[in-house]
Amino acid sequence: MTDNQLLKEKHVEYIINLDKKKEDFEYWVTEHLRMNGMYWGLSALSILNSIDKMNKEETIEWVLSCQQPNGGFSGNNQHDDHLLSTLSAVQILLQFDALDRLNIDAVVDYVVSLQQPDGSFFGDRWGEVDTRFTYCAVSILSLLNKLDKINQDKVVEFIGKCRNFDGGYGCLPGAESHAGQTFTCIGTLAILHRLHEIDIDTIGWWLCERQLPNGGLNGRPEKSSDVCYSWWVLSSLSAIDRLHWIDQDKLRSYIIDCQDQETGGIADKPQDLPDVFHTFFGLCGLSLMGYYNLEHIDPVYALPTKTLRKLKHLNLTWNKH
Amino acid sequence: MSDKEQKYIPFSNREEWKDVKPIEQDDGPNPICPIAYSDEFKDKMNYFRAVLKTQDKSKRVIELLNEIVQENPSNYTVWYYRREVIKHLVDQSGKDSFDFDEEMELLEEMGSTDPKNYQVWNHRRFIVENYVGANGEKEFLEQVLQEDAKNYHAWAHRQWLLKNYSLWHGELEYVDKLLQLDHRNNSAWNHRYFILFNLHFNQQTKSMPLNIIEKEIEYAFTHIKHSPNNESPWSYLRGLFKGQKYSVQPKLLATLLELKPKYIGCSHINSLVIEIYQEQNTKESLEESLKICKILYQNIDQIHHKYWEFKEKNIKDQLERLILSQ
Repeated sequence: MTDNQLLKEKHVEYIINLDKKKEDFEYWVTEHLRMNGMYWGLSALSILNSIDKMNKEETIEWVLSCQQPNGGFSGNNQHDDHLLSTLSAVQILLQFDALDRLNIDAVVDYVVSLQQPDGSFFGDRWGEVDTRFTYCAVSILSLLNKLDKINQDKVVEFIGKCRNFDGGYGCLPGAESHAGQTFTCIGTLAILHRLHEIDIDTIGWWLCERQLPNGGLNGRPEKSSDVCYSWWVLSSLSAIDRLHWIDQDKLRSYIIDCQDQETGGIADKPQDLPDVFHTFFGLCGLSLMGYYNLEHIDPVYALPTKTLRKLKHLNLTWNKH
Repeated sequence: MSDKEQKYIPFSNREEWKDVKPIEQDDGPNPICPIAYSDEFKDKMNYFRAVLKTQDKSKRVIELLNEIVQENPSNYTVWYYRREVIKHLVDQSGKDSFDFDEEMELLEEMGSTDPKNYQVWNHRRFIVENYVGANGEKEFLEQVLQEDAKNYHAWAHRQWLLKNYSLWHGELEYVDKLLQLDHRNNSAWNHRYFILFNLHFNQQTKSMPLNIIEKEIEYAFTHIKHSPNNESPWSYLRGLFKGQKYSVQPKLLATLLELKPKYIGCSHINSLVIEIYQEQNTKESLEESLKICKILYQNIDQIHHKYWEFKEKNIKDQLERLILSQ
């Protein structure tokens, strides 16, 4: 693949067909993640300007059916609620302009109940702590304009403890830096308008060093490149206004090389099989870099900028689109 | 698997479960995404629902839960209930009434087949903390990390152990062993920093003591010498100076300058030299960094050329400011 063509129609087709493969093994093993999968697929269609290809009413109904009595959302009917799937549910409803059908107070109570005295968040009632969950909580509350319900200073304090000597962030205090976790921490600080408190250039360089000579990005030192970091790394760089520090043409070529020419969809690495997760994150990367006239995606909320612009209470200081 | 299926005895046929009435799952009238469970698993879950309803916390429940967690280790409620049963049994008849060796064996087995499952780790922490103590934990973790040196649950468990049981003894040696095996093990570098930070970091001055910095510079370079392009020890070196200036230990720059001519093509050494020169903030040091920037974006680190061009501009501005102030 040398002509750098983005197979837009094929990707749309690939995503729409995903929901029809109910006989596939993969469909069933990812059953508990269906809410995340739905968000990835739907948002990919948004970036490709094809959200109308989804069955809006059926999807909204299904999402709402996953809200549990405690206010949280599960990954599918009959599964346990979790912050990860709750954020996805809110993101889906928002893109369908259906937040008015959501029991917002119940969601807010759920999220608030998961904050711990040290500022961190449990992912669900069973107590796993991870900076990912902090991001989910903060993003949900800010989308619903309810950030005042939690202790924000404590959140920032906890995020600060997860910052490592190399400038990156891990999932817990002391845990190794990882680009995915760095996205969640930078995103949290951006939403809370506290980015000015960190050393931008140190983390900027750590993120920039994630680009390998093949143009792709990795998530940790000495790991190989993977398309999903076109989101985790690029969005972080974008939020701190350092997107121009990497070689964008080379990264574009890398993502383009990961497309499946036959079925559509984007894989983690060239020649691998595509999946919805990497399709979404590959498109996100291309969108952030401004290629192919894609719908612009916001680097902090991972939602189309035009969707977020409808929420007047948000102040997207990092987003010039 | 088929072997196992043939041997499966439904709970309704088991003598010790005769008094229990299973409860079927209620899918609702018209499920959109129906869930595909095997008959065996349904049978077990039907009995689990019954147990939950009657709050049965007798010994037989552990057997049922064993079967369920092995099939579906991510079911939170099952793990939670298991802890409730264990607490109840110990409260009733004392610690000796429950076979914790068997419990640890189960966790060990599950830990090796599903090493990234949070529930398994969480349960392990509960058992260690409340009943069996930290003996043998380091050895267990050593095995897990031997399989996957980057398993973050294992590292998090290890860090928790060290802090809660003060098991720092021998830890630096362990990390050293891992790094001897693989200089590029970034998790091990991170762990080394964690140990030193917890043992030596001066919370008053917010910096690492000089004697530690000196020792660790030496340590980092023994690894750098094996593979100069390995990013990890270079980040580690920078991290040691967190909260203070590079000039507190001039040995660093001296070593860098000594190695630099040998490490042609190594971007890390050049980048660190630039940083130190920028800190020195003299006309000579800044001019020298400008030269290095050029070499970096023209030759040895072209993929990051945008960054080095930015840096070049930055240093030019710094130099201008310096000249103006003189």
